[in-house]
Amino acid sequence: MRKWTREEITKFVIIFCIFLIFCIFLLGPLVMLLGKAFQDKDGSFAGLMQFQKYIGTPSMLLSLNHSLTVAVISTILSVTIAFILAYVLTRRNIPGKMFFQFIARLPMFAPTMLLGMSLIYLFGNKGILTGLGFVIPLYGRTGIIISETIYGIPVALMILMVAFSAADNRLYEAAEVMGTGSLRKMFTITIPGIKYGLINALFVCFTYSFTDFGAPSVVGGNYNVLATDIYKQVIGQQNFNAGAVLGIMMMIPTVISFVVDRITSRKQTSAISSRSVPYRIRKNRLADIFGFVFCAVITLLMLGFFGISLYGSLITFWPYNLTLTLSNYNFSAISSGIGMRAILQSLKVSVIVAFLGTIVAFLDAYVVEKVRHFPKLRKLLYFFSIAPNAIPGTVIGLAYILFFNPKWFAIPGTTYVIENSFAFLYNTTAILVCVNIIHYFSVPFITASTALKRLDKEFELVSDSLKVPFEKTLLRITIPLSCQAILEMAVYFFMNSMVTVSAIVFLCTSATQMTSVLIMNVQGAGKDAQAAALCMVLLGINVAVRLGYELLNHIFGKRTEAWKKR
Amino acid sequence: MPKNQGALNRVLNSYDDISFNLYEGEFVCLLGPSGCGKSTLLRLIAGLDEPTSGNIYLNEKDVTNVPSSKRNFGIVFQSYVLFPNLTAFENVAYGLRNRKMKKDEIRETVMCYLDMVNLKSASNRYPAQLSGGEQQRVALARAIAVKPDFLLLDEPLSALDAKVRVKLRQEIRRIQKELKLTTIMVTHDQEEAMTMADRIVVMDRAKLIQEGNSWEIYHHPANKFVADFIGAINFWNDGKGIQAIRPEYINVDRTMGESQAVLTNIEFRGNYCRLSAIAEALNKDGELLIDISAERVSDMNLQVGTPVYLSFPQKQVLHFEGGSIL
Repeated sequence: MRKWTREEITKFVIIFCIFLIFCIFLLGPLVMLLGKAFQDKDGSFAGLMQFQKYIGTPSMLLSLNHSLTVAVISTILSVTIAFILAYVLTRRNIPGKMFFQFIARLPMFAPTMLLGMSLIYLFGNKGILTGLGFVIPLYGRTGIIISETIYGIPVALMILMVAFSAADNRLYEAAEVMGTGSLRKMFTITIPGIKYGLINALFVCFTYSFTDFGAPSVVGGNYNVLATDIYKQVIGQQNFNAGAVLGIMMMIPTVISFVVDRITSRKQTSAISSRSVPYRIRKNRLADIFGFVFCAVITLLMLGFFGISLYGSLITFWPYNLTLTLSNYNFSAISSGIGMRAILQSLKVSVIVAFLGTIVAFLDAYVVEKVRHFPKLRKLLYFFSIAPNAIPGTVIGLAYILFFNPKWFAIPGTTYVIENSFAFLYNTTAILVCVNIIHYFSVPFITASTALKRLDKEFELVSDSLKVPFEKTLLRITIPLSCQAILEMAVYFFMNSMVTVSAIVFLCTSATQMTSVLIMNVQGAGKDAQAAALCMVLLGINVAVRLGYELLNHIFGKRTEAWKKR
Repeated sequence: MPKNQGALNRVLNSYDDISFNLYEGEFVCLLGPSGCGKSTLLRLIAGLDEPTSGNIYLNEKDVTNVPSSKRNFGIVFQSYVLFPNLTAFENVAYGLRNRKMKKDEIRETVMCYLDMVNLKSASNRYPAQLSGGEQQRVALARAIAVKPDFLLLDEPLSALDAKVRVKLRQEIRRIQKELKLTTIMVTHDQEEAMTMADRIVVMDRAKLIQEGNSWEIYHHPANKFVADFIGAINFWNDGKGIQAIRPEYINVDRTMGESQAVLTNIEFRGNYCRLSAIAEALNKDGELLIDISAERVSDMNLQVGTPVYLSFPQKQVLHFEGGSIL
C-alpha cells in the first residue's frame, strides 16, 4: 500500500464527513426508532410484543387499510391526469404551454393543508358549492383523495414531461415510412419510451399520498390514516412505542415501492443517444384542440381551487360577513404575535436548508460520481443519499425525537449508559434545518448526480495530468458547468422546507414555530381565514422564488449559451 | 477502450509481461485492433487506472504506486475534453495557473503554444465555437504547455474528418519533432501509425506482437496477424506452409506468368486500381487482391472476366509456419 497523496486525504476527509452526517442524522435516529418498536414502555426488550399489540387492534388495521385505499386511488387519478397533461404539453401544438405548466405546479408551492382548506370552502358544511346543492361526503375518504390527487399532479407531471420529451424522432419517422397507424405508434413507440417514467411517477405519487400528513389532518374527519395516527399516538398520548410500530408499518409500502422503483430504473437504458433527433410535433388539429381544452379545464379548476382560499383569506367571517378585509393578514394578531415570527422562522430555516443542503448534496454527489477511490464507502454514501426517498416525513420526525431527546442512552442488556452528545440540538432551530435537509435530500442529490454524469469523465483525468488539484477543477469547471442544477437544488430545498409539516410537526416548539405548523394549529382552532392567509403567504413566497428561479435560469442560460453553441 | 469494468479487468488480468523501449524524443505508436488493450495500457502508463496486479516500470523505476499527477505526462484524448466554460486561451492556461508563474509569463507561454498549433487568432473563442480539428489542437497545446516529460495521445484523430486528420497528423508530428517530445500514441489506424511513428508496437489481445519501424513491420511482419492487420495481403497454402504477398507486388500480364487467373472485379481507387481475381491453381479460398496503376489497366484493356497471368516475385513472398490461412 502506497502513501496517500494530499488529494486522496482531502477526498477521504470529505467522504468521511458526509458519512458522519448520515450516521448522526439518518442512521442514528432510524436505529432508535427500530429499537423503540421492540421495547416495552420501560425500555427493556420486548420482542414482537408491541407489534402484536397494535397489529391485533382493528383500528390499526383500519388505518393501514385507509392509507392504502387513499394512496392507490389518488395515485391512479393524479397519474392519469398528469399523463394527459404531459402528453399535451410536450407532444401537441398549443399556445400557453408555459402558463399551463406553471399553474399545474401550484400545489407544490403550498402546504397540503391548503388543499384541504379549499375543499372545505367549496364542499364543507358552509361551502359555496354545498350551498348550491353539490353535496359530497367531504370529510374522510373523499376529501383526502381529492386533496392527494391534486397534490400528486405536479410531481407526476414533472416526471412524465421529462419522459415524454426524451423521444427519438427517427423512430416515428421510420414507423411512418412503414405506414404505421397512430394507435400502433402509441403502443409500440410512445408508451415503451416513457415506461420507466410512468412507473417512477406511480411510485412517487403513491409515496407522496401514502405519507402525507397535512391534508388528512384538515379534511380527514374520523377517517384515520397512518400518518395522522402516529401524530396522535406520539403527541396526544406520548406513546412512543406505538408511534415506532406505526412508523415501521408505514415504511413497509414505501420501502417496497422504493426497491421496485430502483430495480426497474436499473433496467432502464437511455432511450436517447447522441444521434437521436428531437421529436417533431405532427399536425393534428383535432388532438390539439382537445389538448388545449383539457389543459384549460385543469388550469381553471386549479385557479378556482386556489382562488377560493385566497378569497376566504380576504373576507371577514365566512359565510356570514363577506366584506373584504385584510385583517386576516395582520399576523401579529395571531396567537399573540407568533404569526409574524413563524413566517420569519420559516424563511430563516428554508434559506439555511437551501444553502447547506445544496452544499452537502452537491459535494455528496460529487464524491459519489467523480472520485475514483474508496468504491465501498462511495456505494454506502449513494445508498444513504437515496434512502430518504423511502422514509416518510412523520417517521423521520418521530425518529428525531427518539434520537435527540434523551439525555443519555442505555446500552441494552447492561446497566451502562452513555451520554447523548447530540441532545443539545433538541428544541433548537438547528434540528429543524437538519431534519429538512435529510427529509428532502434524495431529489437534489439525484439532480446533482445527473448533472455531474453529463460532464466528461475525463475532466478530472486531464486536471490530474496538468497537476491541477481537484478542488480547483471542482470550483472552476465542475461547479460553473452545474450551476443550473445547483440552482434547481437550492429552490427545491427552499420550497419544500417552506411548506413541509410532516417531519417538523414533531420538532417545533413555541419558540421555533414554523408557519406550516402554525397553520395547522390555527386551522385546528377554527380560524380558517387566518390559516388561509398564512397559506397564501407561503404560496406567494414560493411562487416568487420560483419565478425568480426561472428568471435566473434564463440569465444563466444566456450565459452558458456561448459554451453550448455549435 | 474497454467500456465496462468487466472488460477492463479481463484485459488487465490478461496482460503478460509487456515491455517496449521508448527512447528520448521518440514517437512510438501502440497499434492494434479495438479491444486489444492498447488504451488500457496507455491509461496504466499514465496512472489513470491502477493495475490489479503487477508493476509498471518507467526508466527502470517502479512507478506502479506513483499517482498520475506525479508522473509528469501530458495527455490528449479522442474526445478533446476541453473545458467548455473556458476559452481556448484559458484552457491552455489552465495547467499553468497554479504554478508559480507571473501573469505576463503565462500569457506569453499560452500564446506561444497557441501559435504553435496555428490558433493564435482563436484564443478568445469557446470550445463549442471551434471545429473538431481546432478543438483537438487546443487540447494538444494545453497538454504540451506544461512541458511534460512525455506526451500520451489516446486515439487523438479518430473523431475527425479524413482531410483534417491527415493535416493534423503532420502538425502533431512537426510539433513533436520541434519539441523533441517523447510521445506514445494509441491508434487502431495503421496508416496513422505508419505515417507518424518512429516505431510501432503492434498489440493483439493484450499481448505485444511486434515492435519495429513501419518499414520493418510492413515488409517483415512477425506473424500472420501483423501481416494481415497492417496493409492488405493475400494468403495461400502451397502444401509446405502459408505463403503471402502484398497486392501491389503481384505482376499482371495478358500473355504469360506463373499462374492463370480470371478477373472478378475491378475497383477504381483514383491513384490505383484494386483487382480481384480467382486463380484456380493456387490453394486459396476466395479471391486474390492485386493493386496496379490505372494506366496499366487501360493499357492491357482489363475487364471483369478477362483471363490474365499472375506472377509472384520470390523476394516479395512471405512464408509463415503452420496454422490455417484464415
